Amino acid sequence: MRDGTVAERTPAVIRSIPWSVISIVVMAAALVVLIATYRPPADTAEEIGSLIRCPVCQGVPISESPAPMARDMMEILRRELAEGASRQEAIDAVLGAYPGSLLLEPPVSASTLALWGVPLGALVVGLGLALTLRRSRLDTSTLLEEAEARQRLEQIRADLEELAAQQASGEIDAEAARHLREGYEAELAETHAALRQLASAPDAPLPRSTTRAVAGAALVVGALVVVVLVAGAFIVDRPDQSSGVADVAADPSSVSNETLAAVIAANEDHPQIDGMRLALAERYYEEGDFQSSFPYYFDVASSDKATPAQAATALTRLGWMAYSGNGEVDTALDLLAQARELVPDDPFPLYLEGLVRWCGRGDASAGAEAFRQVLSHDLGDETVRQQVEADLAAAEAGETCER
Amino acid sequence: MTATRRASGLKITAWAVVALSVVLAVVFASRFGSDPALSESPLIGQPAPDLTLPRLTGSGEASLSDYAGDIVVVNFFASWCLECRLEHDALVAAADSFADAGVRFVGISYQDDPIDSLEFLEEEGFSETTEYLIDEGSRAAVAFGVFGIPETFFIDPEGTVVGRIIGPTDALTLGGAIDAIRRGEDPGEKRLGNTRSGPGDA
Repeated sequence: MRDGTVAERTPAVIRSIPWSVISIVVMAAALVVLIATYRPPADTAEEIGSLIRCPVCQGVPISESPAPMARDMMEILRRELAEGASRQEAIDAVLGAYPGSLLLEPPVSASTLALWGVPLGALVVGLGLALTLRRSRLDTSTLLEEAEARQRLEQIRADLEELAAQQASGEIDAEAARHLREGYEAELAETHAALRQLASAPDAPLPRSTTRAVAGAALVVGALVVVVLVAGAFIVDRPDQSSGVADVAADPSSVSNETLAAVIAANEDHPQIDGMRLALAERYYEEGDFQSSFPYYFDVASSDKATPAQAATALTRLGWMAYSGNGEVDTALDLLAQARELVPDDPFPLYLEGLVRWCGRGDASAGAEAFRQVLSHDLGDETVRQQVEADLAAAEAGETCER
Repeated sequence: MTATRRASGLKITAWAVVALSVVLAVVFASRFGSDPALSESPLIGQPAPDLTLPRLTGSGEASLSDYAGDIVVVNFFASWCLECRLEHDALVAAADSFADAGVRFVGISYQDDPIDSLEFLEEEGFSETTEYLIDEGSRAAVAFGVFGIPETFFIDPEGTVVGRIIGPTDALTLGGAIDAIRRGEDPGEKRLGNTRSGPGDA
């Protein structure tokens, strides 16, 4: 107990050494690695080429790739540098038309902020954690020493009281009592001094609230830095319609009637030719230009490459045009019957057949029968159903069709 | 700080670290998975490279600037490229269809022996209205930022690159892009299928 002040203090110092040593060793190691790996800014073709990813290879710089494209890029670099181009000008000559991701050391930009900033955020988080752990350890060891010192104080005071009692009862003579009292009082002074030293020591813990606030703030700031950078990079680079090239299928709707007609004329053997013809025919039909639509419907209807649905659509349109344009009832019924054979589940050719029988041939009962069959299908659209029901009612009532 | 509170704080910190790690993993995994070949070309909206290349057919050289004022469709092809054979008919048909409409097609032979390229044209069909050029030293491929072929670029009459098709194109897409340029719109970039980076690329 008597020599405890210094003895107890020493292990605390020793305990703090590994942390310091580890920190210094890690920093020194990092410095050595930095120095060992430091390269001055590249200025030869080979050095610059080692920073450029080969666009036709997998993760290989153009300086190391045997691909002809990479060799040609190296030649361009050498030529540019020989002609006096700067490092950046030479890089631009090779990568000017490529996305920045081909540079193995990407420049700092909105899209690469996360790449550069996350280590910084992680460092701040790490510092916060280290601070928390260190303060926690210092808290523990210092408070332990302080508690022990106070315990010693109480013990000394108890010893002094006991000494006074022993002297009063004559158990101990005055000289011996004085000698012991001086020893206790010296120890008392020493313990008080140790307590004052603990309170003023550089490692004395900050108020816990301050420690927690500092560590917490570091953690929050670090985490925010990481989250903002990552979110920012994700927003900048997310693969949506504003960035990147999407897979698309050929879309006739993006082409004018004239261009589509030219394309069809030049691609008679194209596997999608009937789709193109039908698309153009439908456009003309919807525009009321039946004359222009006719040859395209005709080609689709007589094509052996057309799908049943394409051919049926063309036959249905041709049938209705034969009746409504030229009054050719028999031709219309023949074409609509061919369409029905191709798509038996489609009620539309049957509906038109009913109209032609009722309106063109004047056979209301045949029309009504066709309409009843149409109504047995799932027509989907309620408006269509109402129209067919109205036609059925009129045909059953023997009304004359005006269409 | 009591033991309970300290344990609670450590638990929250641990979860925060795990959550951040997951977010980072997802973001970086998505970034690593992206194909730079599908990134938007920085050439879009920029002046077209002014290149002078030797002719594959005929003699002498030709420059893209020779066609200033026309819509220019630049297609990179090679005899070893299967997808180039798939799109060839559409290119020839479109070139011939639009020859009198201020549209000029330019075929650039990429990483190919000129003799092989000529054989390719003899086999697949030769367009009288297309200017076929040789990409010596990959100058054109580098200038256009080509990753693989076939790739097709569209240049408007003002000489600005306004569109790009990755993979084998077709008649509708070509016609749609040309129509868009005529309307003063940019056809943009589209991917229609696979590309090949070299003769050994399966």
